[in-house]
Amino acid sequence: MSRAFDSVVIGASADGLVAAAVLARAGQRVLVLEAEREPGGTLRAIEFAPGYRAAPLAGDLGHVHEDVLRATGTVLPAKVVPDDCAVALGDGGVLTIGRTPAATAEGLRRHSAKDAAAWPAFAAGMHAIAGFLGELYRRPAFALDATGGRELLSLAGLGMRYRALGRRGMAELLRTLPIALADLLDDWFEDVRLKGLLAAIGTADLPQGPMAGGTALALLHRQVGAAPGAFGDRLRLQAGGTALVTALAERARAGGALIETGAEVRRILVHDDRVAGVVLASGEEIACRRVISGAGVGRTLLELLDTAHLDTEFIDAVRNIRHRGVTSFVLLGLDGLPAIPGHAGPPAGSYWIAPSVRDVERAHDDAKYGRISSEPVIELRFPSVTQPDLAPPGRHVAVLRVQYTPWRLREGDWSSARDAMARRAIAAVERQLPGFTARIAQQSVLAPPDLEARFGLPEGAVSRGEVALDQLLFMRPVAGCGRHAMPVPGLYLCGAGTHPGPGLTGLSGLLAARAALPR
Amino acid sequence: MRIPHTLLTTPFHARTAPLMQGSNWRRWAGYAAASCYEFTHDREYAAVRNAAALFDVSPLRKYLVSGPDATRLLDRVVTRSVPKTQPGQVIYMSWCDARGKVIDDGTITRLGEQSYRMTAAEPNLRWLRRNAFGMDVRIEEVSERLGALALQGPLSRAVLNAAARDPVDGLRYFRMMDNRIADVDLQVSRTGYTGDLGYEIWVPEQGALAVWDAIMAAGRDFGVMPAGIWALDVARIEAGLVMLDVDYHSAQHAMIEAQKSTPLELSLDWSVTLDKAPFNGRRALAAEKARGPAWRFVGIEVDWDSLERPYREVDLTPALPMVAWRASVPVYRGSRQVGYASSGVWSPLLKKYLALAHIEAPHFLPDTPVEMEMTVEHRRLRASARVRKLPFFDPPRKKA
Repeated sequence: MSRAFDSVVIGASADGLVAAAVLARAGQRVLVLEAEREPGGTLRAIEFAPGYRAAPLAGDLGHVHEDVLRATGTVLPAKVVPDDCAVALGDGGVLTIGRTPAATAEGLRRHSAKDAAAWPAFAAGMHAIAGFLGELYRRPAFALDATGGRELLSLAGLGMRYRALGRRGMAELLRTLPIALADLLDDWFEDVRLKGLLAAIGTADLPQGPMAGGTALALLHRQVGAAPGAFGDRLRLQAGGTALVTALAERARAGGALIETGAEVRRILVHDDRVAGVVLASGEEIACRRVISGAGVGRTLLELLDTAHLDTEFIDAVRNIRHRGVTSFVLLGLDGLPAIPGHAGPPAGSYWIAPSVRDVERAHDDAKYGRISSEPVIELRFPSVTQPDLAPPGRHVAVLRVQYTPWRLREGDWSSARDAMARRAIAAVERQLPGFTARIAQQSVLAPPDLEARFGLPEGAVSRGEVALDQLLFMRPVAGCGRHAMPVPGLYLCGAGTHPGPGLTGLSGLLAARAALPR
Repeated sequence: MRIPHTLLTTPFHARTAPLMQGSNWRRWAGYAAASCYEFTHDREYAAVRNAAALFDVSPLRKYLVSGPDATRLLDRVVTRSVPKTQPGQVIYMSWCDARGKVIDDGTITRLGEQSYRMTAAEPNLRWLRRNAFGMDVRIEEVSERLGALALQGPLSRAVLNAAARDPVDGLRYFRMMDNRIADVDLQVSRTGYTGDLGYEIWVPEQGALAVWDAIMAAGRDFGVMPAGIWALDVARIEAGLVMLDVDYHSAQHAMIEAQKSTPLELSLDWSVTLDKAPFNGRRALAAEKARGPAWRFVGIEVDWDSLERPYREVDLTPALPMVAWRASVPVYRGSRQVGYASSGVWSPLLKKYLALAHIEAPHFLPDTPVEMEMTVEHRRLRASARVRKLPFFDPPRKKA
């Protein structure tokens, strides 16, 4: 072996770069190996047509926790803070969830005075519960057999936080975690479209419909790190995801980490029952004592590692992680922006077609039986509004997130289903935004298999493991392995497939790095 | 003799059923198996040690494992080195879960470079399949298609030489050969569960009856006896061979952790190779080896005088367990219980009351004086006994 490092990080994703920065700042010699030509992982933009680029998985950059910024010494570049977070298209004009509860309530008054009155309390309540979740997310997942002093102190701290929710808040937390989102929304609101929009936001990228138990949790998950009620709207930067990745990469390099792109790791080497190095596609062997892999849970454990080093029960557990991708993206190059009826100014938010909870549930019903939704839920964004460099001058980019489009189709396969799905989605947008189709100059489709191939999402699942009560915290990626250290000493995982899950950008990298640092 | 249809019958059933005199069938892995054919098992046992006994052991689970990753799969599953086996070699071993607790034990026969036959006491197909994740390997259950006979005893070689096309004289202990009996192609391995000279014959079910007939015919002059589980049980206790569900519980069926055993606790250290490629339970077993096992599986030999005395006090001759018992019997040292016996029998050959027992450290060392509980005329007593190294009986002819 010619080269040796203390730690090798697989994948220059945001999490990988955070891990690299933290380890490097702690004095380790760190090498980051990225298979693609540029860093960024799922946040990176791809050129989908000549001159047009889009980062379909970076519509929202997720919650970059203060801990992450502090541990890496990162200063976030200029943000975009649009007034509108999520806008429901449809009959009766737009319905908008805004940046503040007051603004949202103001807009809701046109639709339902009752809902307008209820919104601030709902937003505040969800925000409070999400605050508690956020506390759970920023720590190593609790160990069930906690006995150490530090561990117990941390648990005691959590207990205080829990108590701080107040009697009502504590009850609300326990009630909200397992229930169906549809039921939660019925408790609070009457307006069909408001509930449809929240149902769609909550179930985004999940294979469940809003009437499934546990989906209220998914909405809560999207509240973590967002302004009250601004579900899923956590961070956007003027220069897009690339700016975040560049900033993190810079911090990793500043700490002394080496970042190599176009370097695909093929194998993780194990000697004497602990990590000894990695082997690249080029054949080069690199020695290291630790590997922090952001290459995905299944890929790392079942493909890069020789499964002989893992217990049978553990392999089963990893194989049984539920992914079930249901999301497709239709990427469009536009020769101009469409007008949004009832909406002034450039369309900088996300625009949703999800008329009611029933419609979202029905869209899911199709997927349950292996079909693409006949009336899919659509989230539409125009990233070029804030990032003009994504399109040629004067042109624009539209990203349609289309749900539910199951990874495994009962009939036919994705090679033939792709175009029909895109036509269906575009037609649905056309009905809301007349003239939209005529503006399309370029088109590209990323169905679940494409997401798997281009971004390494298992089964095309944007969640990289369903966000469900049994796949979070100490059970993410699998029960008992929520603390980033894997059963083979020296191997750590980071990324959305690990605690604390998708949308908490960088935290898993930070926690994995801390777990990997010698105590 | 009709067997209730709820039990399966082996490929030899048409021959074994008419031999049954006392309706003494039992269940073995869902099959009807003879406890003994005659009214008592005395002659059947005597054949094991003095002539040749023929056991129908078809209820054993049998798996064919083949393909480029067959060696890798088995080496991952079992505690012994599989790559080191030669084609034609048989190994005995156990396999464990991740915590090093024994799931089952059996043999692996290397049939070719990339093919093996594995035997097990219980169904293990799913376990094998789960362990084969990502491997290019074919796992086939052949339990029903393959009949199995065990021909055991000092004259078994002579019987087989008279019955088979090719002599078995050159067949070494724990080796396998292709052979032919009554025009049926089959395999003969020098293995068994009696601790004596003996062979096992692996025969496709269609050829089963012809092979049975040929062996019985060839064995007539040598005193071959069909024998049942009672005779086998006496022999295997003398040989100190552990039995699943009698002496230990499978880690997959144990209700609590304490019911599970490691190979080291079962005194199967010799079948555990820690310095091979990673295998299920290796980490746990390495740690256990370093600190020393908390239990050992040992022999217990009951002192005759101590056995006879309580009977004499009530004017009885000692009641000896001629049929092996399968129960948990406390073993003491002084006032303290230090373990339990799980099988016991009177050995007609050694003229001793023997038991197999799990004994805690440090009381498992050979010759440690202990006491074993026994019941004489409804009263619980303790008989003096000594810890013995296994096997109790190990004749040179076994391996010669």
